[in-house]
Amino acid sequence: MNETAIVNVTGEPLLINPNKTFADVNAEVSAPIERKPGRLWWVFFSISLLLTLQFAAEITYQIIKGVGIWGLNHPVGWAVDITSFVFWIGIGHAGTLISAILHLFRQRWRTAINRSAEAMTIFAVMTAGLFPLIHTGRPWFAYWLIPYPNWRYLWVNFRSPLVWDVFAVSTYLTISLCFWYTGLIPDFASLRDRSSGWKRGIYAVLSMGWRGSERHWQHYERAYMMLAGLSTPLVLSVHSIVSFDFATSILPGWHTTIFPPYFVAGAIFSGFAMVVTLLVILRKVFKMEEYITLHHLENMNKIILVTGMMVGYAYATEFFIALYSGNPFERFVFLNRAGGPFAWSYWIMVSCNVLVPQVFWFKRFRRSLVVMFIVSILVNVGMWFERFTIIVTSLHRDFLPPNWSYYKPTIFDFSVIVGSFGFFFMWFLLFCRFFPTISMAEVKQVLWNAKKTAGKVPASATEKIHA
Amino acid sequence: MSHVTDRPKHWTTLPDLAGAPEVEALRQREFLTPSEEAEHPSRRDFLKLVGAGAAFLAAGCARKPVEKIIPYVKAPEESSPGNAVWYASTCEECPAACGILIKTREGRPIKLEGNADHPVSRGGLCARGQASLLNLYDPDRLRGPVTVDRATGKSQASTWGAVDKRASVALKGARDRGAKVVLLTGTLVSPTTQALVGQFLAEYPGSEHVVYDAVSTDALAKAQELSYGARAVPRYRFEKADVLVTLGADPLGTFLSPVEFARDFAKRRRPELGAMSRVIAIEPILSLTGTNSDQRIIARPEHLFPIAMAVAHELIVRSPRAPGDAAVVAALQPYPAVTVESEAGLDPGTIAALADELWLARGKSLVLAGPQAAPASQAVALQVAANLLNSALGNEGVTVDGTTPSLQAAGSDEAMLALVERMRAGEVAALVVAGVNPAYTLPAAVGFADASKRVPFIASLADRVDETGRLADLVAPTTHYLESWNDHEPRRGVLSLTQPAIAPLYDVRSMQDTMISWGRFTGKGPLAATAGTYHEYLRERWRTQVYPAADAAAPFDLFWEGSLRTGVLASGGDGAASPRAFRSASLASLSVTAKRPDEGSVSLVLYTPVSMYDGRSANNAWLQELPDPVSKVCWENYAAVSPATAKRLNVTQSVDSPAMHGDVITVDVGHARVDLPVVIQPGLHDHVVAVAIGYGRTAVGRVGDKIGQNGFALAEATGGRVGLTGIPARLTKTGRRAPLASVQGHQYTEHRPIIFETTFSEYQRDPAAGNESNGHLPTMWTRHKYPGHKWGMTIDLNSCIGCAACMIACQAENNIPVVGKSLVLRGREMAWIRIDRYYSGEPEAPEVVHQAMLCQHCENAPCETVCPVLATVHSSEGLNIQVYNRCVGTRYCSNNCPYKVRRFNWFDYSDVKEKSLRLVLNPDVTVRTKGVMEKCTFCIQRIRDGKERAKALGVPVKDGDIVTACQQSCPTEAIIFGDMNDPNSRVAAKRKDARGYHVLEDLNTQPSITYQTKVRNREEAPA
Amino acid sequence: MLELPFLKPKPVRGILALYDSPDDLLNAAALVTEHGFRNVDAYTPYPVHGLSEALGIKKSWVPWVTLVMGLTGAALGLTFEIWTSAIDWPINVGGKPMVSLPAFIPITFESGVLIGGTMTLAALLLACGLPNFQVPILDRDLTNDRFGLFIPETGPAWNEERAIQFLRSTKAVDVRVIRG
Repeated sequence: MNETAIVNVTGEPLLINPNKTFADVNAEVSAPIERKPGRLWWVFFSISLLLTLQFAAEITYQIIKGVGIWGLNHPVGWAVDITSFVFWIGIGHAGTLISAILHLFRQRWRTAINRSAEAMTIFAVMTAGLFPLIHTGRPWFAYWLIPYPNWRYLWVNFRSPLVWDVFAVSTYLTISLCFWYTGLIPDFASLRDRSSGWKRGIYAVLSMGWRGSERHWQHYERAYMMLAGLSTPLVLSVHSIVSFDFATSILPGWHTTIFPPYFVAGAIFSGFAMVVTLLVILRKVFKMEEYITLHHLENMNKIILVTGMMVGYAYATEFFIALYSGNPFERFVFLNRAGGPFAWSYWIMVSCNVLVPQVFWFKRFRRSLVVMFIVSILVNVGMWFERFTIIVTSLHRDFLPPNWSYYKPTIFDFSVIVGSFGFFFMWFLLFCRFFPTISMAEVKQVLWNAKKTAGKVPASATEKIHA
Repeated sequence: MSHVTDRPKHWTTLPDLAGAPEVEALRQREFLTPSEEAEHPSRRDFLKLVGAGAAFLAAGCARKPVEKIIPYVKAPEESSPGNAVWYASTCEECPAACGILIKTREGRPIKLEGNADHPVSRGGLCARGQASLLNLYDPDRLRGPVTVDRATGKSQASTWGAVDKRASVALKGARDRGAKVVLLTGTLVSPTTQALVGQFLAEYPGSEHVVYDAVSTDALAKAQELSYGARAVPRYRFEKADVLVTLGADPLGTFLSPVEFARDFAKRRRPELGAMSRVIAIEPILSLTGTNSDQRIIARPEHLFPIAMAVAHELIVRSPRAPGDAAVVAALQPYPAVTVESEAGLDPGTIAALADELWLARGKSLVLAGPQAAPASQAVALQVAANLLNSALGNEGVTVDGTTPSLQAAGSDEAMLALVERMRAGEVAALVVAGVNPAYTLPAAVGFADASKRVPFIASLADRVDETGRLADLVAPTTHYLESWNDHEPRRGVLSLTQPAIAPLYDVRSMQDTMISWGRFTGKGPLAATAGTYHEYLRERWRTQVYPAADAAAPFDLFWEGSLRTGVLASGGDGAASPRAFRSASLASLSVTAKRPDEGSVSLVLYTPVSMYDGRSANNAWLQELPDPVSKVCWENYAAVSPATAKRLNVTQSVDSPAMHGDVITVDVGHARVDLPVVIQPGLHDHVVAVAIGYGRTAVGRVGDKIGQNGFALAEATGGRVGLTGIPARLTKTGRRAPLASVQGHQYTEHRPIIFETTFSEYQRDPAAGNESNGHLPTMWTRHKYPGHKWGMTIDLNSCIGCAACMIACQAENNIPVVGKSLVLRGREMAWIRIDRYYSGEPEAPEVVHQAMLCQHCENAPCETVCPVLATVHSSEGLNIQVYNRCVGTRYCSNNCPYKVRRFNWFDYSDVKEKSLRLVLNPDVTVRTKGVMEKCTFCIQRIRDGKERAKALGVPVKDGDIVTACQQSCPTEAIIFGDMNDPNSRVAAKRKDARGYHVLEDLNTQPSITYQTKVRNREEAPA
Repeated sequence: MLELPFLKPKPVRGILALYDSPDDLLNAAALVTEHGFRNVDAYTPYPVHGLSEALGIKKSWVPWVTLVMGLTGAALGLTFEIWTSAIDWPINVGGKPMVSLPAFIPITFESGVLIGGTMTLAALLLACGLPNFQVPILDRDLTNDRFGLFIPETGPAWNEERAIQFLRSTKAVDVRVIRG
């Protein structure tokens, strides 16, 4: 806990200890991959594996019995399933944001965390992708959502937001993978050159024979920039489209123009919270404190504070507009959210997402691992309930009062929630074990600058040419 | 009730007709007589038969010898697989004896519809009539005769030979000893059966035929006898009544002949005709009729008689207008309006106003008192008072027709109770019970079970070993009426026939055939000579009795076939009735012990529910899952109390289904007590608790056993009369809570644009009064063109009485599964058409609207836009189509449906365990599998059929050619379906009507269903 | 030296100089072209800014691929939507027009990004001639903490001594003759 920030002569914090050598970076980042995993890793991994297995069991049973084993009813056709879908998609967004947008903005501090953040994105999207599949009544026909030529000459309904989802999510996953892999190539090369035997063979194939030629770097940097440039609007579009699932419907509480920005903000919010949760664990388990510094974490906590307030603003706005609009249906839905049978979920959402992050106004808390860990988890709880509130409270009391109903989850609803977390963490832990969790190539750039600004090496020709 | 929760599995599947061996077996049995079972026809023979047209029809119900029955005249000339064959017949679910058409496919009855040519029911068919089809395939029916061990109630399979022998020996023995033989039946509407009974009993000197109805009209008949000299139930002419006053009667729900009454009632509720009847319901509970009244006066059962007398007092004594001799005046003296009003807690002037209204409509009004509306001690008195009013107002002979009386109810409580006494005294040597179930329906206090122990021989003629069967020595299983021959005379001069549409599924015999063979066995007497079956007996009687009377030109054979075709033979017709003179002596003869209800206790009202009636079809899952039209609770009965009473008892009931729970209270009437969950029922009298009868059966079958509590157990028997109302009861909270399977979440419109209503006077000023519809809305898109047909529907909120006939009709037509209580509790019911019931005004005295809600087939359907796989799209004829095969079950369409009329198959409901139940399925309608969405299709299979028939004839589809299932069954013609593009169609006309509006119009979904504003015939707006 | 034994290595001949700081490499690179050496390449663990300018390497053409492919993808997406919904089998869905343009935009955009992104990666590999397991790795530390400058052998005019001379004159920590 009592880590002191390394500062340069002018007193601003450095992202990395300038006394390190380039060799240190390779050695220390590769260490977790090369040594056997510790007890802590095994504990985490076996827990998530267990949760994943019961998830698989639940899905099997559900396919045999029918989706009725969930607590859904008429009129509440969606609840935990789509809630979790939106939640996990949201988690993914922080990864892309860190790797792409911060890259475009030349935010050097991203270098220590972007690799794991991107990994998180991919696993989160994988997890999210499960829910649209299993929420259908006939999952074995879910592929019908893809427009492929068939003997029925039947395509899909391109007016349906669910089809937009299919395209958005699959595109998002593909592009994130490309982006992630591009970033990994030089590091795979480094690993290749450190290892021997069959390991060397694997890394050789993964690195595709990368040798760090300047001619390659030249293309590499431009391509990386392009991918970052594509991912930025992509990440915004994906959650906008997810929000269209609701915004383009006619259901009061769903049919809201504010949803796209509101959902994107919420996604980044929850995503960053998840990154913090993961990094606090990761740097502990794999002893990365020197690379993932409090300074990194503090920056992210600042973003959490900002996006948290954006989300809070969105809550206020939609409530105000609902009351102001004079539309009796809108008005009712929001009063029902805050005071109806599901008020508890609404207030969990408000307190976790708006009130809790306010502690980050204080530097002490921004830099306290304990505080940020708790806050980041509460934020994710809050964000899960945000989606739950939007979906269930709008459905359970809609236009015709005789349809009004209540939603009671069953054991199976809980099973899928915890199962999805198990699934996600299982992949992430495997990633930590077999992939470089920090981009070595990028850290070396930062390290060289650090050395300069800390006066460890003489400033020389480089600046001239840079200038 | 876990055993109930498994039921859903039983109700839909695509009957793999070729595949399922049982089905095949059953099908083959259609062409066999039990005696022929040696030579089973091969599959090919069977197919030949199916193809063989008339031969098939003959074989379709083959017995020995072949009995010829004739398909309905409108049916295709010859039958071929895939073509429906229709038979005209008569519904025997209750003695109302409505005319029906039986739709058969490949020899299976699959749907019942009202026979428009039947002068009593005229086209409609009630929910119970519709559902009686399912009883035919009830897997819990007896498959052959059984003997019963009285000690244990256990039954053991037997043979007809053995059973017949045992019965005839017992009967012979009784006759030879000169001991009493008693035949106990319900009302026999069939003159031929009555004749048969006469001949059967003629063999046994001193024998007796006791007629007993659990839901009895005894008091009514008795009062008629006192007032007019003849014991009869008059024919009530609602269509002639400008003012209708009901005293605890529910003619639209369960009283006597609901379909007939509803039709006539609705004729006078059409404001566009310029005149509209006014309906005033004086009742303790909110009955279906009450929900359709213009004014409700809430009174305890004990007060109904005084109120009736007070009205008469106003008319005859206080401000004398109506005639009344000294005796009448004397009898009325104790009932001045002021006293009665203060006693009954009515607003001062209520009775005077009532009297004035009636007087203004004299000769054109009708006072109808429920035979069970008042406590047993006052039941007859109340009826006499009603008679007095009708006579005094000159309604006698106009709206009350005693000259062509109804023959739909003849039961006598007195006779029944006397019988039990004689049984207890050991005077009855042999008791044959046919079609009634006294062991269940008689008040526990009467002690039928004990009395039965003193009867040496008891035979039960029923389709199962029911509560009474368990006390018998043997049960001779009876056929379902769809397997039987019979005739009916529901009203003097109206004869309608029942003909079998299928051979008995099992080794069973009609009650009449059993009586014939038993009569034959016993040797002498008229039946000894009778050879052959009841079919011949019936035909013979028609030849000798009916044919001559009808003086038809045609020879008898043609006359007989013609009668079978139309199913009904009406002579006399609607001749003007002649008034009968009221005998004022009947008033004097009344010894009314006007018992003062003590305030501490409440009056128990055991009402007859629309779905269960007296519990005879409690094993019918369609009816069990049919929500009560008023409370919207199904699968059980409950104790209904008013909001104030609930507060007093400190009991609550959570509002939103499916999480609806109610506190359980104990209803204690002294001699019996039951625990029931409470339902807080607006519009109930504060000192009344209402409990439905027909539940709590113990020997009906796997569906209906142990559902709810037996209300009959709480009934009282005093003064030779069974009393179902005004029983003093004490209510105590148990502290337990129980779930209530309610299908409606919230009871009020919350001022949303769902229901538009106005008053008749407003309507006369402006037909569009109350209709907030703002005409056409702007749209972003250029609307699609619908050349050719564009199907649409109109539903008149003023005609819709909420009887729920359409719901069962839809269920039968469209193979809609029953899901069982546990899933209804989880909000998973499957009804394609439901009836939303809205209250308005004060919870103490609410006004009610019933709104049939089904897929609106929106032109801009929100469901379609969001379906990712094009599983729900729009047809070129304006239908919102659901493609089950394409549906992947995202449920997005349902979420986006503002009317929430889509239903999802949460589990595989199509997997039917009981093969016999597969036979009820309509082969024209796909059954839906696990994980797909379904909803109303506007009976697309009927649209298809109509178009194909028109095509075959080479003519365009006419308005009225295509009739949806819900429309067909609607007794009040509230639902009208047709082509909106056809300018002459009724639909097109009604859509233009000033009362027309769309629900939630502002969403611009452009529904194809137009509702018409509710018009109430009262002056001032509700308080 | 070679990572995949079953592949025959391509012979590589030239002189490799190793530096342990990017600055030294940059200084050397700034001079190497002046001394008239051609096709000089540098190998670094991370992209050192200014190197390509110093070695006179042209700007990458990959961004053009992204642009063109992105637009193509979008165009294809929209065309496909319109063809399926309005031409191949027009179905009346919710009363909306057959070509519901606003509803078609999201997928238009997504398909643009999808094609553009994947093609960018493809272009990168193409431009770098990857995967390539035949060119030998000159030194394992080039992906770790060493910075290399490589002067390839060029035709008859090749003067090995001159090259060694020059490289020795820079701050090279090691100069090796490569004969693959």
